[in-house]
Amino acid sequence: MSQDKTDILQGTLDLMILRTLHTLGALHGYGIAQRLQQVSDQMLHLNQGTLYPALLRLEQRGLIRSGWGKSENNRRARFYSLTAAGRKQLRVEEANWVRMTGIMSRLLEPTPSAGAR
Amino acid sequence: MTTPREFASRLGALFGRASLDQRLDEELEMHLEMLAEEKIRCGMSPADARYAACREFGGVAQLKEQYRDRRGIPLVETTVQDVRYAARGLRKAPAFAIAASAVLALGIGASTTIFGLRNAVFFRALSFPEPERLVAVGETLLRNGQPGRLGAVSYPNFADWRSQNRVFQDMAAWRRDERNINTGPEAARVSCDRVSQEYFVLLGVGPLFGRTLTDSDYTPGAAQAIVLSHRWWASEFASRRDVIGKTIRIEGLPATIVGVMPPEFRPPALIGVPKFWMALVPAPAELSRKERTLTVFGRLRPGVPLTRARGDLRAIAQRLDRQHPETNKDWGVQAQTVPAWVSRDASGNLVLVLSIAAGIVLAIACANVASLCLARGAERRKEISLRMALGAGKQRLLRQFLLESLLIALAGGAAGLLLAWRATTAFSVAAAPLLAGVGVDHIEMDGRVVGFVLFIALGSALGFGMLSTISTSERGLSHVLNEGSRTVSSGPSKRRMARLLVVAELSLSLMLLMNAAFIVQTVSAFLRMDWGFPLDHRLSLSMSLSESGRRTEAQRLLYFEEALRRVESMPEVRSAALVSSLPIESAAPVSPVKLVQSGQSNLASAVCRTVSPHYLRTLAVPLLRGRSFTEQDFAKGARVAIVNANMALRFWTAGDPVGAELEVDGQPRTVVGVAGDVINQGLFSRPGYEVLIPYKQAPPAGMTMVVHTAGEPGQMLAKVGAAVRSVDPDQPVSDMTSIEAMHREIAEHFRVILSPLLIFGLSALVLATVGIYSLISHSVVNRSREIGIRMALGSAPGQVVLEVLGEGARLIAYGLCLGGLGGFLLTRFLISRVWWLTGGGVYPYAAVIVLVVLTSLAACFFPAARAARTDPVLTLRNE
Repeated sequence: MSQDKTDILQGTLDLMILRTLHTLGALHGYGIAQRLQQVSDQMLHLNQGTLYPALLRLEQRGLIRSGWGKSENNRRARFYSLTAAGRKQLRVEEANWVRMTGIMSRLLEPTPSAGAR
Repeated sequence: MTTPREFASRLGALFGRASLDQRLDEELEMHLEMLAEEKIRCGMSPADARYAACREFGGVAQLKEQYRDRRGIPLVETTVQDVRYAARGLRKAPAFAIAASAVLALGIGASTTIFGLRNAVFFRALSFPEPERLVAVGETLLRNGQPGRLGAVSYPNFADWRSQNRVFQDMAAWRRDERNINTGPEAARVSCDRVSQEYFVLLGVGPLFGRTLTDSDYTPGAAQAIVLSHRWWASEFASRRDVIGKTIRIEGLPATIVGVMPPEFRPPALIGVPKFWMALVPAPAELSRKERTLTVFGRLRPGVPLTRARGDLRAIAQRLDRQHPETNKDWGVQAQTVPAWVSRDASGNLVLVLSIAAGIVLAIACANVASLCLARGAERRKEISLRMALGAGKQRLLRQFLLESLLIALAGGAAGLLLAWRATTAFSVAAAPLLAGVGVDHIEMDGRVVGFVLFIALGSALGFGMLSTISTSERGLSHVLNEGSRTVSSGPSKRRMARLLVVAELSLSLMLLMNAAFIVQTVSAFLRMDWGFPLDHRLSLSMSLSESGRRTEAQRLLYFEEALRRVESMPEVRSAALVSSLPIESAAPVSPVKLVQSGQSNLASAVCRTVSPHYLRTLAVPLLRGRSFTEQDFAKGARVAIVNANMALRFWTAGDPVGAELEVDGQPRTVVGVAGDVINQGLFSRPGYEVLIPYKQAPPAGMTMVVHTAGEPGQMLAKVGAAVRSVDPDQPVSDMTSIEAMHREIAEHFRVILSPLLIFGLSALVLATVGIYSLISHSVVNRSREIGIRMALGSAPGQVVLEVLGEGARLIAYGLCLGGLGGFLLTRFLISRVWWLTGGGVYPYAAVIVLVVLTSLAACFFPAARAARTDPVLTLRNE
């Protein structure tokens, strides 16, 4: 494992999954993993296995639903898709995230006193 | 944060776990395959691709575990697992499981039976809203300004309390009475409660249907209205709803049925349910402040404490004392909450004795199960250390032990409940008359009783479950492993605990047996007790004159004299007499008696009985001094009195009051004789002072006739009854019985009360014996190596036996000391509550101690003998 990969920030995996499902529609676990790797340009350190507990959690909370279907290469696969509640939650979490990153970037901006140190 | 939706989904996942596992497996497999295919497309060899995919994916096993924890409810799943495991463990040790739950069942059964009784007598009998705000108030003779027992109240005093107090919402008075009634052709004498208009309102209980008594029933000249008890309504009126508006005749006057009370309604006292309730309209005689016949209670205003109520009532009583010195001098007031007052009752005391006994049996049973658990814990030390070594968490082990004891406790509780149910059924049948006497029809296993069982079972499970874990969980793993090795026997702390438990069991059972022996002895003495007169060839019957028919004293006298004459003239009758109440009847009225001696006056309260001339002769009560009443006394209306020896000895020097003056109920009288002491305030009260006066000067409406027969009194009952009835067929005659039958009935009641006590005592002994047996056996097994070595070195078998016995004997000695002390204290406590338990000789105690020592030594002897048969070669080879 290379050092330049970023670990997934605590609590952001759910948002990533929701957003992925929102963008690409119904998708199986492997597809979600591929999408995350692709978007992050392989920069994300993702234990693909951790996706599944996260998917279960989201399903339990009623944000996504799952069902069996055929994959592109004709395999039986479990597809996950957003529910109405999931779409609503996605909007809330996106807004939260934007707010949070705004705060973080302002906080991390070099200030004159910090620069003096 | 668990939303309900998530919880529901988790709950759903508890079921169909297998298919969900399969689903995950399938998903993961697909994921890995697709990942591997991707790698292959990039040019890896299939094997490398698979390997790389797995690495990228992460640990499958951890993932699955995480997934499962997330999916179901782990606590429930592991608990289910533990319950299964615990059940399997118990199945593997059936002797332990059966013994522990059987012992517990015995304890729970005993305590539940008695709890059911308490529940029926106290809680259910007093099922009024907010019973703790109900306060019983009574008059009491002040001794040195201190109030004594709560007694009956006169109507005018009640009326004054009621109007002047500022602490009660309201007060009510009632009195148990009897009335001659006609519902059909037969005249009968039945019990009724005459109640003041506040009675039903204050108790807060309404009628089943119809109405209770209202103010209009109390207006002068109102038609009589009665409210039926449920039971009488069912038996006499066939539960017909159209009884409302029907008339019956009470003392010859019509009375209208206006309502029926619900089946659970009882008077606020440990007294049977009457046939009906009617308005308490005081008769002229009852308007005297001297006529203290009423039971009074009040309902405290919200937030008023009992002490303030007492203070307020006392202030009123002092005022009344000043205003009416002739009747209220030295009379004070006593108040107690109704539940407290009821539990000090004689029947309450019996229930108390049984409760203590049952509690002790439960304690012994718990100690026994605890020592069983300790022994089992010792046997399982290896298993536990192995499980800990394999990574079982302490909490998980603890939980498993607790579950195991919970299973035992639940099994024991269920069996105990069954046992209690059987015992209760048997007891309610055997004790039916006693129970009816305190107003209980049947003992019900209601929710409260089941709750009690659950509480006891869970509590005990928690208790000994903890006990069996403490020693293992507190010590480190290596310690357990070390101790579990063959070279060391049971840990010292565990053995100390086991010994402590056995000592506790022995002392508790000794305590219980001592008390059982003590009570049995005093009761048998009580049954052999000299009543002060012979019981054989005596019979009694009661006559109560209809108030409407014979109002004047002359009319009453005429009737009584005629009845007495007809009975006396029968050839089989040796003697007959009238008395206001039988000496063994508890309801004898107590009157203040003023003794005038050399200018000084002394006040005593004495039982006052009005009697006909031959009373002493008929009951064969000895005349100690002076003379008996003569016909001339009666004819002249001489103001004479006879006092009992008890009173004579207390108040007159040399016990000779003949010729002395005294004032009974304000009437001056001359003492003409001293009679021997008899039981004079009922069997359950200490005999008190007694004054006999001739009945002709104030014949009461009701009198009891006692007859000394020549032949068997049982065969005479019908004839004597017929002779009395022949005076006036409309006049009912009641309570016809021979004195011996009365005595038999009382003895039977005692047998019913005492048999549970004896059963408890013997169960306790059996439990304690089993306890010490298992402890000594266990210790012999633990020490088998040591014993083997000793025998190899030349110890004689006899020495080994002695030593093992010695170990038991030490425990027995401790048990004897503690139990003896506890038994002594408990006996004192009982004596303080129940007067006729006067304490007997030393023999019962000695007998019980010998019994306990012998049985427990015998229990030690068997393991000791086994130890002596130890083959040193075999034991050492086993090592």
